[in-house]
Amino acid sequence: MRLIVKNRPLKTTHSFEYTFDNRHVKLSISKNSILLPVFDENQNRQIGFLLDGPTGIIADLLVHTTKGAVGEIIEDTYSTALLFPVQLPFLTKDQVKEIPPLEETELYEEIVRKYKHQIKRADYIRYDEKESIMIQTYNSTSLWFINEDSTFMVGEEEIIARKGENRLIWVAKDSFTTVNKNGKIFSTSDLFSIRKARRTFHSILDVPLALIFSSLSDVFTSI
Amino acid sequence: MSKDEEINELREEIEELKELIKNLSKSQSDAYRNLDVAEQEDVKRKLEKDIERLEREKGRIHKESIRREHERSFPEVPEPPEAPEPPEAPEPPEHVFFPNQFHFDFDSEEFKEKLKDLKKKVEKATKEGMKTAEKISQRMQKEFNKYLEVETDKITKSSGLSDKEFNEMRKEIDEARRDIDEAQRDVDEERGHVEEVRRASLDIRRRLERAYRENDLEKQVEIERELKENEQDLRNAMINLSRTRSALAQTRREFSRLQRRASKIHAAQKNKAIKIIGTNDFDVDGTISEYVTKVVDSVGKNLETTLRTAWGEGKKGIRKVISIGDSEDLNGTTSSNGRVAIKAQEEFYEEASELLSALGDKNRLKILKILELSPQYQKELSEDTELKGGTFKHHTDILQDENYITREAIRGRYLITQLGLEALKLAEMIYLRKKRLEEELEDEEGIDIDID
Repeated sequence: MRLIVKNRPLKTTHSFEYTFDNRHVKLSISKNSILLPVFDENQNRQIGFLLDGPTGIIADLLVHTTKGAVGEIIEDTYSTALLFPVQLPFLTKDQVKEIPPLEETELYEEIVRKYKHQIKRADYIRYDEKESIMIQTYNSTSLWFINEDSTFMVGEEEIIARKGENRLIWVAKDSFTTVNKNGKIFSTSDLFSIRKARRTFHSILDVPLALIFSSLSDVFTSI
Repeated sequence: MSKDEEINELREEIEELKELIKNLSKSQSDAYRNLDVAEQEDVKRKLEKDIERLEREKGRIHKESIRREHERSFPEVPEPPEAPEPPEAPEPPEHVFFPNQFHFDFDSEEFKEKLKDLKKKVEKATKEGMKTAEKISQRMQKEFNKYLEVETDKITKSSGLSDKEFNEMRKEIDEARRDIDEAQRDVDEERGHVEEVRRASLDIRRRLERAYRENDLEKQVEIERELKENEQDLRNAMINLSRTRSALAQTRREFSRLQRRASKIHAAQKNKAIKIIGTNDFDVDGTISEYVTKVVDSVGKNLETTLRTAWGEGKKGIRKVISIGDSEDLNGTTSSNGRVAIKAQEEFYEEASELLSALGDKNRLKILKILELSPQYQKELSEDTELKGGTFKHHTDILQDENYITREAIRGRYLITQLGLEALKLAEMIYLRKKRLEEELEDEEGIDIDID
C-alpha cells in the first residue's frame, strides 16, 4: 500500500471533545488543527485523514472485578495522527471548514510515508468498516481500534483490550491478565501461588494429603 | 385456470428445464476439461458405445439399465508386487551381550545363592523390626500407665476434698468478688478525679485566655503556674487510674482462675465413681494422623515461603517490613541488632500509619463496602453514604490518595482497587476477631457454679 496526501486541506474551527459510543474513550482535538485527506495510490481512493495538531486521548481501560479494579486509565497526547475511515462521526461541517491549498506539503508527505510501515503491520484490521475507527499515532507506536462496544490499544510495551463493561485482556511486559464477563480474574501470577496449586492438587486427587499420610500411619501401627 | 395460463406455465417450466440442461452440459464440459488425456479418451469410447447401443435399441422400453453393472464399476487396482523379503540378520554369537540388553539366567546357581542370602537378610531385618516394635510398644505402655496414674491421682485428690476446704474455696471466691467490686469502685473514683482535674485545667485555660486579652502579666504568670501544677495533678491521676485498672484486671483474672478450679471440682464431685480409662479409649491413630497433618502443613508453609522468596512474588515488600530481626532493613543497610532495625524503619511506620488512618473513619469504610459490590457514580455514592459536597469530596480524596479507590476519567464512576479491597478485608477480619474474643471472654466469666 502506498499512501499519499492530497493538498485539499480542512481546518478545525474550534477545539472540541468527542466521547465514543462505547464510553471508554474520549478524543480531544484542538483548534486550528489541519486535516489532509489521505489516499491509497494503488486503488486511488481516500482511506482517511492526516490530523496535524495536538490530539488527546483519554481511555478508561479498567474494569471492576472480584479482586478490585484491574486495568489502566490511559491519557496521551499526540502531535499527529492518522484517522480511519473517511466517515468519522466527530468530523462534521460544524467542526471543520475548507481552507486554500497549503504552500508546502512535503512535510506531510514525509510523515505519511513513515506511517506506511505501521499500516503494513495493521493490515489485518479492516479499517474501511464504518463501525470501527482506527487511530494511528506518529511519535509513539500506539494504535487504537475503537468500535461500538470495545476498545483495543496496542502500545509500545503493552496491549490492552476491553470489551463491554466487564471483559478485559491485558498483556504487559511480564504479565498476562484476563477478566471474564462474571468479573473473575486470571493472571500469570496465579501459576506461582502454592496455595492455589495445592488446592488444585487436592481437587485432582480427590483425597486430602493428610488423609494419605494418616492411612500410611495406620499401616505402620498395624505392623 | 384457463388454457392460456396453463400453456404459459408449461412454457415457463420448459424454459427452466432448458436452463437446467444448459447448466448440466456446462458442468459436464468442465468436468471433461479437468480430466487427463487418457481419461478423456476412455470417456469418449464409453460415450460412443452408449450412443451405438441407444441407436440399436431405439424405441424399446428399457427396464434394465443401459450399461451393465460390471461396466460401471471401477477397474480393479492391480496389487503391488510383493516386496522382496529382507535378508535375515545373522544370529548373534553365544555369550555376547550388548550393553543395553538385559540378560540374566534365573536358573543359575549364583542367582539361587543370592536369593537365599536375601531371604536370610529379610528374616533378620523382620526379627529386628519386631524387637524394636515390641520395645516401642512396651515403652509406650509404660508412659501411658504413668500418665494414667498421674491423672487418676489428680481426680481422686480433687474429688476427695473435705468440707473445710470447700468452705475455704467459697470464701476465696467471695473475697475475690469483693476485691473486684472494690477495684471497680477505685477505678470509678480515679476516673472522677481525672475528670475533675480536666475540668479544672479547662477553667484555668479560660482564665489564662482572659488574662492574655487583658494583658495582665502578673495574672498570666500566676495562672501559668497553676496550669503547670494542674498538669502534674492530671499526670498523677492518670497514673493512678492505670494502676487501679491493672489491679482490677488482676483480680478478675484471679476470680476466673478460682471459678475454673471450682467448676472442675464440681464436675468431679458429680461423678465420684472414677471412670476406668483403658487403652482402647485413646484414639492412637487419630493422634498420629493429627500430628502428621500438622507436620505436613508446616512443611507446606515452609515450602511456600521458600518458593515465594525464590520466585520473588509481589509480597516480598511486606515480608521485608515484618522481618525486623533480619539482617537487612528497608534502606538496605545491614544491622545485626533488632532494636537498631526497629528504629531504622521510619518509612514503614509513616506509610503504614497513613494507610491505616485512611481506613479510620466509618464513612470511608462505608464507601469501600459499597464499591466492593459494583462501581458507583458520585450521586449514587453520596446518596448511599448520606454525605454531601465538601465532606464527600474530603473522604473520597483521602481514599484516592492512598490508592484505595480510583475514578474513571470519562464517566467519573468510582471503583475500588485491589489494595482497597484488601484493606476492607483486613478491617473486617480485625472486627470479627475482636468479636470472637469478646464472646469467648463472656463465656468464661458466665460460668454459674453451684458448689452445694
